[in-house]
Amino acid sequence: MRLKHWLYTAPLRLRSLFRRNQVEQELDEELRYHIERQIEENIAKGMTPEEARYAALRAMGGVEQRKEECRDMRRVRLIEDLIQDLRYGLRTLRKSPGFTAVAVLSLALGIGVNTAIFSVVDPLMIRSLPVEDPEQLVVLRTVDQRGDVRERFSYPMFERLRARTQVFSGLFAESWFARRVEMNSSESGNQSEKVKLKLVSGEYFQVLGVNAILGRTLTTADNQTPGEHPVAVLNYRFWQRRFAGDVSVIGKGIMLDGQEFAIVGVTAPEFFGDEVGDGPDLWAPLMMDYIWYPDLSGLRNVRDDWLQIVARLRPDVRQEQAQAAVDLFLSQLKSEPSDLGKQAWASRIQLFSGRQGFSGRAGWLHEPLRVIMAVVGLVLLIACANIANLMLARAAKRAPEVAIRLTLGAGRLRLIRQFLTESALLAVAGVVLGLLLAWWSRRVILALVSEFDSSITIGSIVVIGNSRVLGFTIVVSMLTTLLFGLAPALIATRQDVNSSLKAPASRRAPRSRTPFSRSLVIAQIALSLVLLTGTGLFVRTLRNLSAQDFGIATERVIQGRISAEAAGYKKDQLPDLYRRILERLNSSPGIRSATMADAGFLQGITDGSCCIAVEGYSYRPDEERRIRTNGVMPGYFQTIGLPLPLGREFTPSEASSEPEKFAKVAIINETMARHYFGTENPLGKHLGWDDPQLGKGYPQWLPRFDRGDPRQFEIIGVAKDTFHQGLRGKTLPLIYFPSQGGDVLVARATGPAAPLASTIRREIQAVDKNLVIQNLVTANQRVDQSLFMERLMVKVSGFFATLALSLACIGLYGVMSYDVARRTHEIGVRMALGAQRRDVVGLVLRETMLLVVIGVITGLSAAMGATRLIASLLYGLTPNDPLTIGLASLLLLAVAALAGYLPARRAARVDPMIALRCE
Amino acid sequence: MSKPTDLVQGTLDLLILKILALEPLNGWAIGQRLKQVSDDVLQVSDGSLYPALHKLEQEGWITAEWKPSENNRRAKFYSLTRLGRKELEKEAANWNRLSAAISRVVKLKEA
Repeated sequence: MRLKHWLYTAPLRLRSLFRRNQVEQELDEELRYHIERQIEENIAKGMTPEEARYAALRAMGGVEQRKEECRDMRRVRLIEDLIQDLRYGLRTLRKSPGFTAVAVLSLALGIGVNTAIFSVVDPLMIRSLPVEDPEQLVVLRTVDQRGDVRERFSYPMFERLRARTQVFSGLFAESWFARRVEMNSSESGNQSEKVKLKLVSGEYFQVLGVNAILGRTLTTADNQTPGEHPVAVLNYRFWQRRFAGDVSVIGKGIMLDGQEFAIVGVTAPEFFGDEVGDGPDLWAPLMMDYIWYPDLSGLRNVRDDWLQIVARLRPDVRQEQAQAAVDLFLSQLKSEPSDLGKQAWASRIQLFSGRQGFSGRAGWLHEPLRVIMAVVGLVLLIACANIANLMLARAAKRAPEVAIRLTLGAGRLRLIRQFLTESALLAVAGVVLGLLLAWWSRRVILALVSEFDSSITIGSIVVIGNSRVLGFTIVVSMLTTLLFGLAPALIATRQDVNSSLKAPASRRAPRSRTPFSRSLVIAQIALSLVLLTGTGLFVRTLRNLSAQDFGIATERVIQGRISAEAAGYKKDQLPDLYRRILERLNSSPGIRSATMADAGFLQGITDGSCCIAVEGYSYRPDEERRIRTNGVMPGYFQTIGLPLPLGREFTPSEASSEPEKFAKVAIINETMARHYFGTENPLGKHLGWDDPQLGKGYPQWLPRFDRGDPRQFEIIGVAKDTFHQGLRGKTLPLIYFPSQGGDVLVARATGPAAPLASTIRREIQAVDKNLVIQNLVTANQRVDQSLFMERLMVKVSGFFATLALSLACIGLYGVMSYDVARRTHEIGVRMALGAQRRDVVGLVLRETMLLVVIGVITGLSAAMGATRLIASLLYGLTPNDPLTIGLASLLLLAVAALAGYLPARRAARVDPMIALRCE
Repeated sequence: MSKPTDLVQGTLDLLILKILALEPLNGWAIGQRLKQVSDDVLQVSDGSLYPALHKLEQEGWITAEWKPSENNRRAKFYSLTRLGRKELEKEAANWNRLSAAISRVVKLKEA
């Protein structure tokens, strides 16, 4: 019935809307017909034509009114009004192109950056993994005594956890990094390509609840015997890209690094992998690690930490309960005399939410993104305040029009609706332009982000145009429309009709405009101060970090990484290769010396090595016994420019080519000397690996000495602290051992280091043209690279703080100019009565500064609260750093004073005669 | 000017529907017919007739068509739709119930 009714009436409504002219004409004709017939009738009754006509019209009781009543029956009134409002709004906006442009542009900017940032924030911080019940997933990570968190475990540890924990409904392990392997397949005509392979335990897909769209996924039966399960599952995207979605791939063979694998399945399309922005191309069982490490080190060695472990909580178990169970598991394990027990050095295995992904590699972005999102939100608020102010000024100009309409009987609600329609028009234009801006700015965002982490690609993260982002934009723009449109609409329509009509044009303004727009300006100033303070804190953080004493000769040092194994060199060929490279480099012009090591300045890896005993030092029971090590060639300290306050550097004979003759000497850093020896002189003291059972855990470069001798190495020197992993955080104890070279090349230039890059590349190519040197940069450039995030924050917050400040100044300027214009008459009187220009300037400036000072005071308290939220991003200063806050306030005062000075000067130029005459 | 007997609210709709159930008519003719059949008791003002007609049309109970009228001029003729016929039955039944009830009340003898 209802539907039938609709089917019948819908065409009528549409006709009323879209054939309006025809409908109107028919209405007119219908009534005219009636009246004419009535006139004829009346004449027939004996009236004169004049009387007849009059009577007919009277019987109708006002043709136009009847027409309006008939129109009301059409039920499309709201829509008609809307169309009318839109037409009117467009016309008025077109009439003031300046206002429209400013409003639309600032809205577009605000909405655009918010959309762009949200499109990054959403996948990284809000959205869950596309798996079953992602909130049940927990990632296991180890926490050591220093609070360092690591997410890697050995395979034996995984097996133990799987066997001994009951709080999980499932547990799986996967390799920490996707391995890049050569893939050959018959389709490609045996042309090989690099693909990303992730090794996973058999439980992986079941625990995640990911199904195959084709074939099957892996099961525990695929992960039993090392090397015996050459099967692989394809990622849907890879299948589409590489095999064009060919269903016949199932059962076919592909070669991965020379081993044949059978394709058994393709995963469901929505599953991109377990990390946003980083999906592997295919998955294979962990047991296949055998083909890369036939010694089974990855599957048997308790020290080979290369797996990430993820578990699904049983539905009836809360995370705290599971954590308690894992704590118990670890304490039992630690008391075990086995290898696994001894290797359990972690103070805690902690459960983290795996809802959004497991590696936490995107985690470094969370803090900055949260801050940036807040910053762009503030900018949008400031933009809204500005537009609201502009709208108010316009409303003031339109006051007479509004007054006339109110007098003629327009409803206030109707007028408000019309004002809001205008705001909505602005918002729509702003959204369209803003989306374009966001689309364009994703490239900028990507460029900023990929400078740090090139694995994050545009397709994987920044997806503008998905429904969530669009939804966000729409909600934001609706809120902004209300925000900047409602107050002016309310104020403009609340006026005393009489006084508005009577007052001279120059004074016609809704009375309440000034206080409201003043509070808007105060809010803008306060918000700008928050942003300025934030920027100041980031700038000072960056300065603090980059002005540290790095310990080395940064301006002369250039470093790079040679991956000789990728070029086909075997381990035992490396010393000879390194010797040849260094010989060439050492005789090149511009290079004073060159050396190789496991780690240079902020480059390379200093891995912790477990269970080192230090003479005269007894560990507390739960104390971390891993100490980081760096194998360096003799001459390393001199080359990199790291001073040795005590003792001496390794001599060439101490790193002889025969392992047995390796000197048993070590150099420690100052932090280690302080921690283990206090004020004592460490020279001549000894250290060594004290557990004979842990033979496999020796650093690879270290020859096999007699095991279990805690006095193996004699300390011959103490080196100044420097930075290896990052510029933040405290320096850790470090031991240098003599070696025959690691993969980090360090060269010292006789002059500036940067021009040496091409020389070094050429010389290395001359040794072997297959050799590649990666990330060959000077130590100074390396500092810049590692301060990427800090520089990003400075750039972003600086840009937006400038924008906010300019918007606030425009707002302030606007309000004060309007004020001056409104008071021309008053100023004229003052000047006529003898006020000097100086006095007038002072008068206006005083009012400006009053606004600014109130804004600054409000902003100060806001900044005090807000900066605490960014404390973790700062370095070397407190969030309420008085210097920063003081400077920001001063800067704001100065700029605001300038913005206020221009209207003040204009006020002073008022000619009293003209001002008085203009009434 | 004396107003015609005020029509009970909603009765105008019923009257129009009933008249149109007999034959399609134009607006002016509807007004004439109303006066005629009610012996001038029910005088619907010309002013309220048209909004009512437009409302009924929008409800889908009557439909309009332009046709030549008695004097060969184009006029808008209304006729009942199927939906309108149902509505008429419903309203007529309502009316019968209501008027019967009212007459019973009116005929009550004082005790």
